[in-house]
Amino acid sequence: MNTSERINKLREQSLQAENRVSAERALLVTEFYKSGVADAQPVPVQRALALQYILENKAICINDGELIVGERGPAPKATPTYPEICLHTLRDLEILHERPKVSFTSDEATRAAYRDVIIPFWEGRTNRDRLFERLPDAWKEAYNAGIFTEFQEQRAPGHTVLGMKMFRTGLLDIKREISEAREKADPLDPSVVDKMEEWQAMEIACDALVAYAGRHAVALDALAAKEEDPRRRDELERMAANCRRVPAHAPRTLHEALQHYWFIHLGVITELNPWDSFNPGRLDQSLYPFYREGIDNGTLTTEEVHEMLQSFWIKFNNHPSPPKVGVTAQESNTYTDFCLINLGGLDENGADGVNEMSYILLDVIREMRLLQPSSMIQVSKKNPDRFIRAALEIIKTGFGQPSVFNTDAIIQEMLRAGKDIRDARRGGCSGCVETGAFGTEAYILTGYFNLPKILEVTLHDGRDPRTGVQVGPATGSATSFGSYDALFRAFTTQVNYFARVKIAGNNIIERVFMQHMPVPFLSVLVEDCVRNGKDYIRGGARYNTSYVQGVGLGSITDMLTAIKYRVFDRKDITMETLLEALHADFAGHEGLQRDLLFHTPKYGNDDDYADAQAVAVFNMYHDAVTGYKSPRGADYRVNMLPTTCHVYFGQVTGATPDGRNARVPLSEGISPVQGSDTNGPTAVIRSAAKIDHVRTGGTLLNQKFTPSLLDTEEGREGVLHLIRAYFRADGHHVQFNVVDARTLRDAQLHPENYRDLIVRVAGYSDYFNDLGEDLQNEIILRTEQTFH
Amino acid sequence: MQGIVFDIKRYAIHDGPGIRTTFFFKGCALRCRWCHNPESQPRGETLARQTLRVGQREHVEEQVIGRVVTVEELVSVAERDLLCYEESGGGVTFSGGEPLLQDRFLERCLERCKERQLHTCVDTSGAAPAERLDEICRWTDLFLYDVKTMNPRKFKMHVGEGFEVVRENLRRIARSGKEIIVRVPAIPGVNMEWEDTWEIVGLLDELPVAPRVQLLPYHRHGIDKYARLGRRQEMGDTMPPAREEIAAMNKRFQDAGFDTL
Repeated sequence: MNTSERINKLREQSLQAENRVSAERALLVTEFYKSGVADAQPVPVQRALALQYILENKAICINDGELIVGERGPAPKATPTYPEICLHTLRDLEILHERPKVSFTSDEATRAAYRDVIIPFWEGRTNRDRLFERLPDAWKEAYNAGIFTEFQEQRAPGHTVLGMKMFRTGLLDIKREISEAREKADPLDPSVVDKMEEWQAMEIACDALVAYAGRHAVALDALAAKEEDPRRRDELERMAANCRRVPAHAPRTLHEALQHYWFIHLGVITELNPWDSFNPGRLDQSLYPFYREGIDNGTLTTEEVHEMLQSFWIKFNNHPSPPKVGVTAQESNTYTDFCLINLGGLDENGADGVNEMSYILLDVIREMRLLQPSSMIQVSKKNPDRFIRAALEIIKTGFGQPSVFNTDAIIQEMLRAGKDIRDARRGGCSGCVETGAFGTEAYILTGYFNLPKILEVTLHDGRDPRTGVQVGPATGSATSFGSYDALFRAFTTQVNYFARVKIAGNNIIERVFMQHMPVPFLSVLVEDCVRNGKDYIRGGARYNTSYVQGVGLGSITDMLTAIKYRVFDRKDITMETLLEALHADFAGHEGLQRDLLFHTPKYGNDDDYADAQAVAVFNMYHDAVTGYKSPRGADYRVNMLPTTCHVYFGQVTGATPDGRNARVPLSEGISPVQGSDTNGPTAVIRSAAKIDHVRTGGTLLNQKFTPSLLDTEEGREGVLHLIRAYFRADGHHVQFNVVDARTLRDAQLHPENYRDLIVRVAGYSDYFNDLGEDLQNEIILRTEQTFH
Repeated sequence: MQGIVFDIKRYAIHDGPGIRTTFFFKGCALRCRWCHNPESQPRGETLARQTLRVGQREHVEEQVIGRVVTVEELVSVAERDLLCYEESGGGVTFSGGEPLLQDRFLERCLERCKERQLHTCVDTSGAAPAERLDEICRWTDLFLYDVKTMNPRKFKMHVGEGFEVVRENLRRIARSGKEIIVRVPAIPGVNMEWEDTWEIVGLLDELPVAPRVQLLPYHRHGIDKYARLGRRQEMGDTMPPAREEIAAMNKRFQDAGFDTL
């Protein structure tokens, strides 16, 4: 279907809009706290009042021609900051302004606001300050060595997805639930005081959102009164009516449902900067009843449906994720907000969930071709092949969407984690590949875990060779290991040590958030926070999980395999020689490097010798993390995904026994090391399926395809069957990069010609031009792999 | 029992139905000028030059092409992609080189594969004496039979010896009743005229059941291999045929009553 002129304009506006830092929210939240009006209130109520103050006072933005209204900032891509979580310095603002990639500009007024108002008030009293004050030295040493990262260091723990229930519920309905719960509460229940505070905060948050929608209605009325085009005037009046209806009441039409969600979305990302990925989840199932009814009773045409959905899509793309502070302001170039819309899968009763809306949304994804929202299809054995074929028609165009997930494995993962079967079926994946029960679970990502670096530390008796700092326990020098098993035991000791350091730090951080940063609005949305009278961040959700994300499975497998094969089994080199070569970054050891790269078994080739190490490392890492509880009562679990962290982790890791040079990116997700899989994609999926995906909360597998492989129907059928086979073996996720290396090389040379080139990075897509050179090179290397 | 293969390709999607694993047997009696797998022709091990790149540095190594495998080894590799075969209706393909040159080994491999319920396909030029051909037919579900030219003079000039054997083997396979897809490489300047088609149709018309026909357009992907093997390539700068020429050739087969793929 063709896109209308106004949608093209809105899309173009979104693509052309410059990312900029908006001081609006930071100023409002500063004014609020400065005024002291809420000083006597309990913390949850303070937070709700802060949200209310922001929503009462922030500018209302209505873009020409749009059908869904509301911006987090004063204009598209004007991005707020959250000084109560972390404070940008003037230097940060300069770096963000000047850096060549994904810059966030700031004008003089913004910098003046920071200099004169925001920084003086928040300096030394942000949540980040609280965390670094409390974290122990062991944590800081490991963190500085690049052994793990920390998500909550400058973000709030969000990471959840809206459940389908909220598409049938208004905020006034929630307020009624709150009143009922309050009436039923036992005044002598020892936790009733906390509950009352939370309920009060939730009510304020609901009112704040309803009033915020009302401000849009007033603005739309004013626009309607001035509008000369009678068609647009009708539309503006209808939109004003929508804003009076939702989110106060449950939506009745498709248009209301989209506007309803969008206000909820804005509420969540204005309350705090939840890293990351709040999204509408199972959108095809949530929207289908509204669509069906509208088409059947003649109030909707197919053209209108497309236009509304397209307008909705553009709203997501107007919202980059908030810019970071400190060193990461310079380094990180991941600024998509990780909204991952789920299509397909099963319904809550276990039936095929693919409906007409699933196909319409696939069309919209193709028509809009935007970075955000990202999209995925869930594939169950009960879903038809034609649904996968429809997705492959988009995948073959090479912008990395949609990615493909295994519903049947996801459900097994959730059942294993103790979830109800219907809650499991209502769930899916968000962010990159993270499993969660939508609308009922707080599943918080806590940080990446650098497994290859820990082997490097193990080979140096607990020391980081880059800095000389003793970061881990002394487990013996590398030359003292008499067998591969002895080495692996030492490695296990180190991994367990760092897992404990990481988790102990997580618990401190979580406690700080529980105390200081409750999120009453997000709590309204996630069951059973209302019933429990308990905040999302304090364990109020029905299910609570904390993930630690393992990085570099391919690299660590090849490193261990190289040592086992060369040093212990074939004994053709000694550990001394190997270490010497690593310290020299293979200078003078080129022959050895070649043998390690090309003549040593590698993960990703269905070679049982190599893959045995993948299974062993996975099991060991799983056991090192799983079983601990967090202060809010969450279970610690693992998943295997890197986002872009494999690049950073590579930078802090020296040359490795698999033949990799120092500072080169590690492998991503559970994919093989770039360029080392030479037996084709069936061998890759066989290797990847040897680890037990069901015991994770998500794994990420990247497959590279040259465009010619998806050009023909025969080629696409092959991929379809490959997906089915991988999923029969319980593989969790697979994504496809379909673009040839020559195109990417040309894009590096002539970025101006490729402003719209989108590539799959790792669990998400990004503009190729926005990626750092390391990551660009890494993707080119990944892409060059073709079949023999 | 052992045989010699020069390559194993998994996720082969052009060598029969579905996703397949193709075993390339080493050794071929023919010397087609356009052969894109020249390393397959000699029966024993072949040495080739290969360049490995590590950063800016290039390592030039000698690569041995050809590996001795047992029937059991081969079948254990074949079975690895069982799920992919089941999902796609795929299976195992024996190609080459010329698989019929190792007919006893081929027969045992096929038999083992059929015992394990794998779909089997033999991709052959027919240019081998193949005493065991009837037994091979028994264990084969589909033949991909290459017919390059049925003009004895052209056969001798471009392909080599074996014109009569190729004809006779195709008739024998056809008599077994097994499905055959006749594959005709479309080589500009060699076999793309209407007389060439007409001569091939003459042979196909004799068969009890009309096979389907698939054209394989000439491509230049194997050209650089000749240099690596220290050989001279003989196709000069012959370019792949145009889409229209392939369509016209397909049309001629269709007009003669054959389904084309």
